[in-house]
Formats: sequence, structure tokens, C-alpha cells
Amino acid sequence: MSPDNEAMADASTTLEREVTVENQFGIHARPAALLVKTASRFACEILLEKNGVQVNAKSIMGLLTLEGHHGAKLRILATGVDASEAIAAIVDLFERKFHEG
Amino acid sequence: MGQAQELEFKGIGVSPGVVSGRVRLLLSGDDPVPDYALRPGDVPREMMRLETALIETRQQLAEIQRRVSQALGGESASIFEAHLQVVDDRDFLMEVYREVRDKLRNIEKVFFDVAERYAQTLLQMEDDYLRERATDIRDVTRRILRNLMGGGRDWLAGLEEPQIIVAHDIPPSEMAALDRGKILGLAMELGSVTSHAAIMARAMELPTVVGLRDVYEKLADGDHVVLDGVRGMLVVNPTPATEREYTRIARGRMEIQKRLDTFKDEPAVTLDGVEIDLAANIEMPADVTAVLARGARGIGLFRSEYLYLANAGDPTEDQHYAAYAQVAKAMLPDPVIIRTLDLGGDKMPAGDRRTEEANPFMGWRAIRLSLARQEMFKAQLRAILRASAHNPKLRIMYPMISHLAEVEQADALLRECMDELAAAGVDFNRDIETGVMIEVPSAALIADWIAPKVRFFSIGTNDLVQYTLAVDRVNERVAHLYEPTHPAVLHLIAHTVEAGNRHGVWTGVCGEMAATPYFVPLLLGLGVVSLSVSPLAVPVVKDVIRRIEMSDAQALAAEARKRANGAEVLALCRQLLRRRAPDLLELAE
Repeated sequence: MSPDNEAMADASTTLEREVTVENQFGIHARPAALLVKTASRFACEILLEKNGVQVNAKSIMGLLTLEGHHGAKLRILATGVDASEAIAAIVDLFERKFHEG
Repeated sequence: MGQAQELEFKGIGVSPGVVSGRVRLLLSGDDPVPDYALRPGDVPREMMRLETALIETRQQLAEIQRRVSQALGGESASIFEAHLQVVDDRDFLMEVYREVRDKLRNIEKVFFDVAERYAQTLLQMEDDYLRERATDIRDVTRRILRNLMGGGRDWLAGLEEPQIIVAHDIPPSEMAALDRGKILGLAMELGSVTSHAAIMARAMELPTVVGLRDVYEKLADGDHVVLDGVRGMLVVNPTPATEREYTRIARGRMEIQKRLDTFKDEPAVTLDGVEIDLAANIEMPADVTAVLARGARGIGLFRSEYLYLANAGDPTEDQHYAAYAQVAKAMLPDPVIIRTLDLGGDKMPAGDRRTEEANPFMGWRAIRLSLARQEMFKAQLRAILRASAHNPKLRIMYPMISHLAEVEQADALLRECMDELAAAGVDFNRDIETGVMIEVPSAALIADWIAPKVRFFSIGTNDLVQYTLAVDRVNERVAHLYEPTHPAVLHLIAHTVEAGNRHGVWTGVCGEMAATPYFVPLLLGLGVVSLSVSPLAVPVVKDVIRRIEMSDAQALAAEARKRANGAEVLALCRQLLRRRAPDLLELAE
């Protein structure tokens, strides 16, 4: 099963995307808060993974313990009905550098 | 009970005012955490206690967010968004619940342990900036803990009279939560003039002294102290004589203040009719209120650093713009000079701080940093340009210029920004005036070459004295060599003024010298036409100007230029003020 096949997305499929932390100071408190806020809008389970460590994107404490420094590569894993929308929204946050310029 | 021994502590005064009262030590959240065993049946009750503390915390944070947003703007308050999410973090709370259930220890102990584990994980990270997130986690989890332990509602509750708060450091959330009515003043071990706490103390008009090293452990609740937020003094167990002395200073300042208020709207004009441009230095938009209240004509120095310090990362162009536009509009029709970023790499919020400089004062800072990080610099320049549409007298000032090329490069970037804005159809003042800070001796010496490129010079005397004499005045061993009246300093000031005059460029002073009453006549005599001082100093400086004659000031300057000895010049300056305004001389001591 191809993880990128979004048409296949249903409650049991896990979608994956890789992102890079582009904002200068990494995922500090403010971007983490934005991530939680965004992730919490979706019903699906969303995990962020770095070096085999997975944290819940809806948990601020979890996100803060992820080593999301500038330049870090992270994997987003979303499982659930709205997984593809959730991934799109989160990728967008990373691409916009969490609105930090 | 006999009189305990008087002890004096010297720190940095960051928010003015003299107060006298009892000490209240502010615990930094390190109170012992209770630790005891539970029976299985106790678990639901413990979780209910946590739930209650969380509700309380949520209310407090929402209130703090509202206050900080009012004082510093919504962007600064957004940090509390993350704090609020901790209160609602189900994963985290489930972890606490499981551990209470499995270990059967009381909720305070378990909550503290779990929170500390998170903080420790962060402290072990390699990235400087990520490590700092531990502070955020501790700030909010300790608040929850205090609420759990019953002390969180208001740690100032039970105070019958307002007291002087002494703390090691006060995080922003605590600072914002302070009930101004219960506090006379603030004394802290950490901090600097530009620290978050200092900025907020000024906004709250709370007399504050920071940088009082090791003072916390030498004090106890209820100790009697006098705090002077102007001179940066904390006196413990003051003798009656000391107490009288400070009362006299406070009363003197108040009386002069009252008299000064009466000519708030009068111009700063000498007895022989020469009008001086008297402006104020500000740190943030909220300071404009104080500027207007004290009758300054414009802003001679808007330090833009708070934008970088109050935000986690570099401020966005829109954040810059919002601050500048607000000040530009509020000060109409008077001028506003915005100084571009004047931080050193050592003070940058993060990231760039990784390489520590052996000598930051001669390092990568101010215009050097801006020219190296052009995108960051251009965001600030574009924001200033956009704000210039609201006030034709909005001006730009580049700090720490030492080479002519820096002025040219900065101007080239400014022109790029203008072209970008013009192409986008954005309104701005194409004739915006630019100037430079003269604070490095080399800039003063090449003023003749810089002058054709600018419209004004602003002498930053603090740094100019420091760089000219190679004296760090914070270093106690050499502080006595810090001498604003040193002939070399006077020569550089005079040379700058004269070079400016040859090219139709005016010269102002925005350093501490401009706010020191007995130096005001000297500066005017040297040909300085504009002074910019802290809002609080405006009335006194105006009073000096209104009580002297320009001819006296010029005679003083001419005499001063003949002296080889700075101490003699200082004596001359004081003599003139003693003759013209003895009360103000006393105030300046």
C-alpha cells in the first residue's frame, strides 16, 4: 500500500509526509502552540516523528520535547478520516515557517 | 530591639522613584513540594484537586494574556497561548493520572516529577534555543503547582500594606500578574535595562532596581528597606539619617516635578531666546504617553530592540510596522527618529548567539549585524518606510557607524526597499531623512565625509565616552576613568558639530550626558541643537535650558575646550549650574 495514495485514505490508512523545520529558531513555544492549535482541528491521530521518537501533535508538552531545531527533518504521520486535510494544513504551517518569516 | 546594621546594595535603576517600606521575598517556585503516600481510594480526589487547580490556572493565564496584550501588544501575549495549551494537554495530564494511580503518591509530588522530567529532557538538548523552552514549561507547571498547593491565587494576599518585592528574577507571566496596588517597588538579582521585567516595570511606573547580585539571601520578609529606582540603590535597615536623606531626595524630585508641570507646554528656550529641540528617548509605543505628558517635542531615539527581545524570533515586517505607525501617528506633528536594530550578537534572542564573542562591544552588533542579515534589516526598513506615510517627520537612524561604507550600504538597501514598496504601490515618504549615531570615535573623526550622506548626527555619549577612553564603566576597577568631560570626548563632539555645520547637518545628543543637568549648557555651548532624554528627564532638562543664556553656555564651552583636565571641565559645568539653578544641581547629585 502506498502511503502517498491519498485516494485510499480511510480510517485505517496512515498518511506520511516529510517536512523540514525552516523557521530560524526551531519549534519553540509559539510555533508549537500553533501546531497544536492546527492539529486539534482534525479528528485523525497526528504524530510527528524524529529519529524514531514519536510525539502527539495535539500535545504541547510532547511537541516541545521533540528536537525540532532549525533544519531538522521531521515525519508527519496522520491516521483517520481527515488525515489528508490535516497533513496539508500542517505542511502549510511548516512551509510558511509558522508565520515567523 | 536595636538598630540593625545598615547595608547598601548598588544595582541598576531601571524604573524611577524612591520608595521606603517592608520587604516581601518572592519565592521562585522552589518551595518544598509535599510528598506522601495515598490509598487507592484517594486517587479520584487527587485528580479532582488537579482539575480545580487547572481551572484556576486557566483563568489566571487568560487574565495575564489580556494584561500583557494591553501593555505590550498581542504578539507578546501569544506566548501564553502555549501556556494555556499545557493546561489542556490531555496526553500530559493522562501521564500524571497514570502515575498517581500506579505509584500512589500525592498529586503535587507526581505532577512536579512529571513536569520536571519534561523540563530535564529539554535541558539536555544541544540547541540553545530549544533548551530555553524548559523555562516556559517550568513557568506554567510551577503556576499549576502553586495553585495545587493553595498559594497560587495571589501570593500577595494577606499583605496589609504595600511592600517592596525582592526576587531573584521574575518571569513575564508573574510580572504581568503583579497587583500594582500591593507593590511599592521591585528589586531583582537578575535583569538589565532592556530585560522584559524592566520594560514592564517602566510601563507600570513601578520603581525598580535590577542587577542586585546576591541580595536575595541577605534579606528576610519584613526587613525595612529604601529603594531608589533612579540611582539603582537598595538600602537595608536604613539609619534615620539615611531615611531622611532619601525622603529629601524624593520630596525634592516631587517639588521640582510640580513646578516643572507648570511649564510643560512652554518651549525649551534659553533666556536669550535660543530655542532648543528637546525630544525624548523611548523603548516601546506605550512610552509615548509619558513623552506627551512631560512635554517633549518629538522622539529623538526610538530604540527598536524591544521588538526583538519581546518576540521569540525576529519580528515580522508587520510587527515592526504596527509599532512604528502607532508612534508616528501619536507624535504628529512632531518628529520621530527610529534607530535600527542596536543589539549585539550576544543579545540576539537565539540562533546567532551560538558563537560567544570574547569582546561583544567590539563585535558583531548593530549596523554590522543588520548589514550581514539583510532580509531582517530590510523588513525593518520597509516597515519604517511604510510608517513614514503617517508622519512626514519620521526619520531613520543607523547605529554604531564606524565606516563610511556602512552608511552607503545601508542607504543602498533603503533604496531597494523604496523601489520594492513603490513597485507594490505602497505609500511612503520618499524624502525620509536619514542620520547616523556618532558613538564610535572613527565616525566622529570622519564626520566631514559622512555628513554629505545624511541629514543629522546623533551623538550617543555613553558609547562614545566608553570607546574613546577604552573604559567599560561597569567594570568597577576602571569606572573612575569614565569621564564625559575628557578633552578627547569634547574634541570629538565639537568636531562632529562643526563638520555637520559645514554641510548643513544638525547634531543632537541622545546619551546620558544630555539628561545630566550640569552637562546641558556645555553641550549647547558646543553647538548641539537637539537633546533627547528619557521622558522623566525632559522637565528637568527643559528647566535648565530655560534658566541659562546661550552666551553663558558658549563661554563655558570655549573655556572647557582650553582645559587639558576633564575634572576641571566638570567643575566649570557644575559652577555654571550652581549659579543659575542650584536646586537642579542638588537634584543631579
